[in-house]
Amino acid sequence: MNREDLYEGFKDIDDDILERSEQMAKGKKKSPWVRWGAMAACICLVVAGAVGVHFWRGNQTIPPTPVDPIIIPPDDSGLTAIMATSDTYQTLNELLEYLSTNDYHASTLSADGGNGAGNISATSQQLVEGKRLAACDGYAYHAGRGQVHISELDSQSPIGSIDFEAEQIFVCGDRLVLVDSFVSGGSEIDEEISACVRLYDLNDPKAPKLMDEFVQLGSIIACYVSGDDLFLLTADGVCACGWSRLDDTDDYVPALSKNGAAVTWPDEEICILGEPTSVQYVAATQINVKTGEVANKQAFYGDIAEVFYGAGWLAITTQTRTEQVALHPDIYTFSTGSGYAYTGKISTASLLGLDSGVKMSDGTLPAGNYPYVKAVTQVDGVYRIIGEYVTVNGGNGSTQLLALTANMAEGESNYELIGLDNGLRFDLDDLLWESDRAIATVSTTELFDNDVKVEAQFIFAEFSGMDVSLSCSGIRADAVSGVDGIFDLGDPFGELETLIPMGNGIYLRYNETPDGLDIYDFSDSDAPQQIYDSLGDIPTDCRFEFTWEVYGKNIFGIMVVTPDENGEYRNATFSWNIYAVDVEKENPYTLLKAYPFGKGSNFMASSLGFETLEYEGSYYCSTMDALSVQKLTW
Amino acid sequence: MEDSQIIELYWRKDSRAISETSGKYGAYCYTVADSILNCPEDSEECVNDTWLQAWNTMPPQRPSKLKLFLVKITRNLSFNRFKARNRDKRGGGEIHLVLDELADCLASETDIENEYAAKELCGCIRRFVRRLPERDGSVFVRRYFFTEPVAVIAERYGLTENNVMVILSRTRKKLKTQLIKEGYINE
Repeated sequence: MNREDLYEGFKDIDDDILERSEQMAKGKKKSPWVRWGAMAACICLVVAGAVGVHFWRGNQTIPPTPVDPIIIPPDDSGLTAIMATSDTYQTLNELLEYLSTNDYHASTLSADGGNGAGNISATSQQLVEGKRLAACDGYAYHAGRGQVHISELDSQSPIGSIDFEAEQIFVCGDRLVLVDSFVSGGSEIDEEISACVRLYDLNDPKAPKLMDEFVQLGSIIACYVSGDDLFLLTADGVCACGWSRLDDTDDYVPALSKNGAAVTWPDEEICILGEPTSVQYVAATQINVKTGEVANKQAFYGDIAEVFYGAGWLAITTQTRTEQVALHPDIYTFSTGSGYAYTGKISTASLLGLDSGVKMSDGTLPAGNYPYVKAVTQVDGVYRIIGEYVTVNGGNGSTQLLALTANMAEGESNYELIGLDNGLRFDLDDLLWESDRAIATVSTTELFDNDVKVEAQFIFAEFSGMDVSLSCSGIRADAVSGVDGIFDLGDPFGELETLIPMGNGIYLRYNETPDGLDIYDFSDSDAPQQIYDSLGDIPTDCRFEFTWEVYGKNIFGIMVVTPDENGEYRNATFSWNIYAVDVEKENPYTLLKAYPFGKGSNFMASSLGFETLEYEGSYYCSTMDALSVQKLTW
Repeated sequence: MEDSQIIELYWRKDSRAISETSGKYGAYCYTVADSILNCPEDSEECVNDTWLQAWNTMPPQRPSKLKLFLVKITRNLSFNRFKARNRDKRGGGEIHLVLDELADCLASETDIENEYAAKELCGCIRRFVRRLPERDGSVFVRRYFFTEPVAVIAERYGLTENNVMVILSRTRKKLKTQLIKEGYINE
């Protein structure tokens, strides 16, 4: 084989990959999502062909783009039916009618040109999604293969199981909540995914009693508990071109059932964000786990990029990019709890003095400035937003970190920008939110005589009310993006939480060369220090599935992965190692206990589904192959 | 005109299919051809040959993505012409840089010879690219499928040229690892 053969080997690259490459915007986060597959595309094609060309009205038109003020608090009068999140569409039918001839089949939304399969993910800095392990009244419930195992914590012995494959498990008062996603229909190449939520009564914790079951169409993007309520967020989408040929518009409305009976989803629980270029939506359902009633629900339709949430609030970012237009991010904010009340929109374009978007002739961004929203949280009613502010100018652009605050109730906003001391462009790799601060890890790339130098730096964003201040650390560290060459045992580019906060301003951070954990003192954002440069001592070959837990002052556990004697990760062994760290010592790490995984071990047979849990001052762990939890001691 | 309408013209053997295709995708296909051939006359001929091949293959084919259907034809025709023209000489153009880069993925001696293995190689590369993260996969195919210059890719995605080169370099290493694992090349 020669290089020409290799070049020719690219000739059969899948169309969706090629199409995606034409459209891809910078800085999109990746997340698993339902792929509306060939079926949606075929439906479009067949329908278009069947009806005839008269249906098509020439080139797609650019969706209307109203000029927005910086923050748009909602008009109370607009909250009755369709919330006033769109100046253009009052009903879903209006949107569908427009999209019937203008649906933008963006390849970034789907692997195959169908519609709806966006890259939507949801994150929270305040609420924890369900784990695979939970406990109640001395009993543990952990996810196994096709079953949820029940074990007694004291004896660490199995006592029973529930036939249910759970992705997430919650214990909420006397209720056990099991959540899973499953293939609910479709075809092999176009699977329909739904989420299933089961509520169990735990009055007898050894034998949970099934109370209610909910099924909601779409992929789970978030599931969390706040108070007595379970919030389930699923995402879905439907190709809208030729929509009028579908049986009815209910096909575009979220499907929810309780104990097998359909729950209606009325118009007033549908909210259109801006001017969508396709039909994709996030359906948010709030279930009271005590009563088993659906307390509230709302479906959000739009060019949704990402969803952020916390206790009492939800923020949805939209960003449009078609072959003809790129619109800057908007952030739609809602209060949650007693319904989803629209609290206003943050238009980053207006805030930064930019037009709402740009027209593109060939899908590429013209020279100019482009904001990207990376993370949103809310503290005391003030939204805190971190993003990138990128200047595109051929190969000579620049990047600045954007930190923004917005008080929706007061209609106030503020922002700061900062670039790196050396002026290099960067990518925001990792962000750690703290109560009054965010630590951004960014990476830069330089080329010297064909030698590549990739480095990480830290930027600190201090928040106080509406004020925000940014500072660059000047510290250089390894950029950590994963490991080359691992395809079968995990995503080598998985998002790593590289900073391990040990308290008192001390942070451990994964260092790639050599593998190990550096130690930083970030207690003062204006004078951050590196106080230990890893010698490759710990954890050896901890290179992916970078999982860690802080167990208290100076104690942490971390997953250590060791390749086989040939350096292969296919036969890697795993170990959950618990260390003490003492920054005063020359060799700061002391191994307290190692729990190896693997065949023949008296611990767990496999690391799959490894989970740890703190319960009444003790720590436990589980895996999918174990029938019982195991207590961790050191 | 919408792609579905153009395809319909091909199926009806209406000669307007060629003019519509040329008007809509002529420049696009020309760019791909010229990236490989670096010669306006040859590129123009390959684009015209593309319309001919499209004419001969529709029907029976009814591509779901006309643009990509055409560009694959253009790429194949252009590269065949490039190989015939450049068997013993080297010239300028992006393709030489691209091929030199791809040589990184190969060992000094490699060992697939037959057509069956070549077809398998296409599948191997297709799977490899599909498993790549979105950004890296897109950068990779812009370079090695579309033969785009690094500067163009950088601008397309708002990256620096250095960043693009790093992504390409890392991904080539991964491809090499994959090719070794699947037995296409020796370690």
